[in-house]
Amino acid sequence: MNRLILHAAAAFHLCCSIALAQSGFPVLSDGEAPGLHILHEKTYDGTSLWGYINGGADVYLEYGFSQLLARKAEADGIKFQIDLYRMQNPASAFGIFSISAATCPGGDSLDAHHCISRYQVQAARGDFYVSVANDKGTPEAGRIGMTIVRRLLSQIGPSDPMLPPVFGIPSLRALGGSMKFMKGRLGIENGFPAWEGLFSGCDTYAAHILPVRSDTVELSLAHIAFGSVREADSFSSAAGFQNFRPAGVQRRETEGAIRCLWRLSDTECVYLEAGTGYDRMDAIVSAVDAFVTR
Amino acid sequence: MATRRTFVKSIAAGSLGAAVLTPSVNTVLAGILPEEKTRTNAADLTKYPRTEHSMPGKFPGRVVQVRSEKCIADNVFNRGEIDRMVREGIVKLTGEEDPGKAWRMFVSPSDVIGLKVNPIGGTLLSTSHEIVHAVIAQLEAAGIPRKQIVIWDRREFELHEAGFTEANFPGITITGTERKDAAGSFYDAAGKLYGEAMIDKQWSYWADVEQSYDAETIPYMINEGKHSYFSRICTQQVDKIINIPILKNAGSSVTLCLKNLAYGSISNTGRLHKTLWSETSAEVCAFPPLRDKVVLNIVDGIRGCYNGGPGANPQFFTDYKTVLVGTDPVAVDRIGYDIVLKKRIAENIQKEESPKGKKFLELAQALGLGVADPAKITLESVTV
Repeated sequence: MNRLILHAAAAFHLCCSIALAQSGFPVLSDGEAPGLHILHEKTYDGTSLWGYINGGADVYLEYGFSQLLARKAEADGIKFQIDLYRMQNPASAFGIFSISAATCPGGDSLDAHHCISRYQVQAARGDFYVSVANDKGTPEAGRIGMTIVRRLLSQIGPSDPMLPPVFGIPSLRALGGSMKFMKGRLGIENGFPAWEGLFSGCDTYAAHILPVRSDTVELSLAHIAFGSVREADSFSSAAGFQNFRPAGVQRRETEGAIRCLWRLSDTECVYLEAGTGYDRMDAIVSAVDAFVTR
Repeated sequence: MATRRTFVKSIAAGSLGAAVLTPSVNTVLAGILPEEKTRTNAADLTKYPRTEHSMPGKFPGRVVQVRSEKCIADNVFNRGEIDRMVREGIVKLTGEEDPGKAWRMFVSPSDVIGLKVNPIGGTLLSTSHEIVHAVIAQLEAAGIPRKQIVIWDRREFELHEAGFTEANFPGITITGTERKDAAGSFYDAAGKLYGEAMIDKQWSYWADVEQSYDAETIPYMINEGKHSYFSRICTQQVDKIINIPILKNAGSSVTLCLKNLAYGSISNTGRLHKTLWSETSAEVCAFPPLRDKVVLNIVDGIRGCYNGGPGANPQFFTDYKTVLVGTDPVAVDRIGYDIVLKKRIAENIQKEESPKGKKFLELAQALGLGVADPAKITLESVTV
């Protein structure tokens, strides 16, 4: 009996894999969540995303958008908007997720990168950013939304983007925080506007930013790869440093903020910005210092 | 002649993680030339003399904010209360106690009146039906024939998807510039986009930036090149416009009166979002088809959003329980901007104002469309 179940499960997953391979998208059919009925679905390729979300499309295009499958569905009188954005790579999918999801109440565990709120479940896995929104905000709507997202994620192989090693420093890992991945002008504008000024001269950078906020600490640590030496110089200048060139750490303290910049190469750095008064600050700086100079 | 050159080089799929981990790969990332001011035909605006109806309208620098705790509860919009909020707003703005007389300060029974809504968020976050019903009911009570009221936006099918249909708004014309036929095709039997017949090439916003569109995209843009043509809906079909945007953010700025009008009234917008957002939002509104026809702005802030805009990301929806009313779109936008900014700071989305956030307001003020300086805006708050 157990063997039969295993064979059936294997066949099911094979069917899913074939369907995913054929369409490029996870499948979702009527009845796969309680009462679910798919009303309409449409795909958008490349810049036709403007036809779906107008100017909202630009940030997706900037991150590297491939295709969207937008489904409208209904279950027990609740309307669902089920959007599967296929991005060009896992980093882009995670990036879009990281700027689309902010403070998340959390809840039942779905995936490494997920965000659950009353009206919406969002997740990033592999090349996909998934958003399932409902129009009721009820617990039932939430449960159905979760079922839909689980069904979709189960068909996507885990392929998370690699993080820069600096974020593996144990004392940083202990701080928690929610990683963001930024690209381009709209990325920073939408995802981390506090640093918009720092990146005002940069268009072709890629930045992992870990903001940490608690009662005792407010800091943001970033690993940034700039598209050019000019952009690196522009950033360091905006952060108040003379230039990007010196090796090792540059540190300055002004107006209640500490800023540290570690140059890793002509176009790559680690940057830390924190409020003064955090008693573990020197330990954090030393840990990054040791990591960079090892 | 290009005054701004943007070089976009893509990072090969899958290489980004490696690019971050391996500095040498950074060489695949492209450089970009310093930003220069992109030329537009805003200089031509001096050719068009202002009229008595030109923005900022009858009440420059004046905004009424109406709040009600009862306008929405448990996800249900209270139509009666929203109707009351709109009425209070008009009465307070005009100082005219008779609502009918107040409305007739802006429109007359002979006018064809276009209600410019924002349906882009579909059923999740579009201009609410309740506020549009309120405006229609009050216009009718003021003597405006129902048949002379038009609900419009750029995309007719988005209006339908957001529920702006004959069934929900019987007797009201519902129309858009970009459209499909009953079979879902954007093209007529001759292979011509239906949208082409809806643009007026006499009126164009020219900007020295262009974008090519593929076959999937062109039906949503209508034309390529450096011109964005105004919709015939605003150049020919309607006499007056009542603008009813939603209170929502667009990155660290807002998409309210000016943005709703500008991007909702012209073709070929894909080229304009990224680098000319502020200029387009301000300058397009300074052309006569909008500048001289928009008589009133009523911002639907019953439910709006503070992040994730201009799309509809429900995690960031919030019930502002507010309606803003004014003839001056710049002043109304400035008040709305402050409301959204305050919420974004409260929610830790941003710590302080972005330097670019209100650039479009400053440009609009410089074009004479209204008042952006909060010190010169009279804000009257009403709680019903």
